[in-house]
Amino acid sequence: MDPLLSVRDLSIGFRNGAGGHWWPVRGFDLTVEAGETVALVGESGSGKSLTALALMGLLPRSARVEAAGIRFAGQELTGLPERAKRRLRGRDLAMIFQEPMTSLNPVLTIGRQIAEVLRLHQGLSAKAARAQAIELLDLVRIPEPQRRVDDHPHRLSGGMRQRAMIAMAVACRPKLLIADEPTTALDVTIQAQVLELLDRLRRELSLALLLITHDLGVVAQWADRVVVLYAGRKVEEADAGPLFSDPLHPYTRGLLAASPRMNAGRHYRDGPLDEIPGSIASAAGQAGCPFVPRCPAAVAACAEAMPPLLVPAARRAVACPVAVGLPLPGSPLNSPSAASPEFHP
Amino acid sequence: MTLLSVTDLHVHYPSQGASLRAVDGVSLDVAAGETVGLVGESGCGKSSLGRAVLRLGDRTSGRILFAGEDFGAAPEGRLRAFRRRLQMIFQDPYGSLNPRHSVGDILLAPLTVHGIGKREERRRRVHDMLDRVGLPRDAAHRFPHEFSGGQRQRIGIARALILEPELVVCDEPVSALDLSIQAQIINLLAAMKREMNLSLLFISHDLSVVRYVADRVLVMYLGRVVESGPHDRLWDHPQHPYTRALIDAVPDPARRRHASPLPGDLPSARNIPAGCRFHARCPIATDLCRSVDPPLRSVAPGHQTACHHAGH
Repeated sequence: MDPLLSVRDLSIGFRNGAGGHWWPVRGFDLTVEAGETVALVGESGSGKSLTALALMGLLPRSARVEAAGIRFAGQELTGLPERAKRRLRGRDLAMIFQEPMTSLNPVLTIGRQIAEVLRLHQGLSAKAARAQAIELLDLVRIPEPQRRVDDHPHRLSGGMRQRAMIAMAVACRPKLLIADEPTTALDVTIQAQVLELLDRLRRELSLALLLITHDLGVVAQWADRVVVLYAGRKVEEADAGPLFSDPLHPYTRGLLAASPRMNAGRHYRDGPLDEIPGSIASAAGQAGCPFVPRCPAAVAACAEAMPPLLVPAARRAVACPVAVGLPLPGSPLNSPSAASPEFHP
Repeated sequence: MTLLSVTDLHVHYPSQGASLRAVDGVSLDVAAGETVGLVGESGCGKSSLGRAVLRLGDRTSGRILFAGEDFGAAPEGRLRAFRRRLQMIFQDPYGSLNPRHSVGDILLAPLTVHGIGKREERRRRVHDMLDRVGLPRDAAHRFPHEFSGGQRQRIGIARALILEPELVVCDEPVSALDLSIQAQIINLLAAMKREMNLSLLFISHDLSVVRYVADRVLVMYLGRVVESGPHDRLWDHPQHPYTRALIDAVPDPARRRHASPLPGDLPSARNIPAGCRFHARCPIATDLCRSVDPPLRSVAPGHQTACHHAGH
């Protein structure tokens, strides 16, 4: 069977002022199967949110989106007229954001906003739409939905607003829900509630979830498959279990080693956390692999061309020959003593 | 030796005709060379407490002793002498760095204000501090916006440490940083603490970070400390149901697709529930909890909790 979503060779570019373009996302492939949770992981500047916005058609006109193909629910999106794309996006493809007020209108009641989606995409009457809005609020476990339906967003707590936004996103039973940092702005106990809710909706509404996050703990606990992005490039992809037990790419390995959450029980008195030296800013203008300036394994060949995605095992891919034991020509670029000395006082 | 000792601190703000009790009776000690972690969710009062302790924010009542002296009651004119010994690191270094001043000027200012050294000596100290926080020396001639988030936090740390303080309050110092940068800054703080024998009051909502950096941990809920203890005991034997819920809410690879989150929202500090302030969300609350506010009591050496049912 076809995957629910398949993106081939996606690049996103913006004018750079010098008449050309810079490409914050390059050559990106992604597949999402029906009903699964795929996590897109990366730090700011990795291109993870841009990718989501491109899928939703929410990038500004000035952005250049190029792809060899974007197939969603059996339909090719590239080349589809804008109207048809829009219809698909409201109904079968939905998105929620870190900050619920991005998608909630502060001057309309939440009931009105959810009903609007239902009237537009499903042609419901005002009365039927309101009744269904109440059901949706109940589905996302907002207490007293009959009363809350007439509240304005500012009357709700942050966690409740997140739920209202989720209710609106799933109103038309989408096949794929894109969640961009859905819990980053929330407190831990509320975070757990929202993640549990999203996973319940995934099961009950049989939707697939594309979870965009920088939180490795969230990924490890909730994702089936993980795609790691660095500076606009996919550097690794694997099922969640193998990724966390046996990370391959030096960036993934570095992230896991640097995370206090992934090293629970470590204490500063026992020694420092492992660090990735430098910052993602060093990827700008870097030829070849963007991680070269920070990579402990980089050799001269890494800076010449972006390594292709290699497949060292079933359902695994990694864009690093060194990580899978292929020898590369050239001497090491970042010997421990030479790596960004200014970051090791 | 106790360096900082806070007793029964209250911070109340007038709010919509009522009183918002952001900090509602907190006592804490920080020993010389110790890192005390302060965890809790938004609105629990941890930042108000951190600022009040430094007399940067409002304080309604409460005693603050620093190195045995009554810092809390010191007249404004005497604060400067204390300020040199007590510093703060903020979450958003950009918001706390003057964008019109070069990094060199930002680091010189505290030395000038406190009349430390002559010109040459001050320059030397600025360069020395840049070296120690891992910034190149030419950073002195550049401006805050030219730096990445992680480097700005290094500037914030350099500014806080240039006066060689004894106690530093760190308010969410790594929360705004990307994961690959967080470890750099945490390691830097730990190294500086060791080299300068600092005491830290480390405020964070991130339990994983506090678990790594703190010797002792206080858990706050709605303006109160509900549990405090040595770091290993607190993680391994939490006594308060809220502490347990916080620990359980940390995403954990070992618990695939399973969460039993605490129900409900955080109540408002404008309207604190009667009895135990946690009872409405507590899985083990009884009638006693709904009527009687539990005091902090000792459950093990150095380990205190404010729960009627702890240890039973």
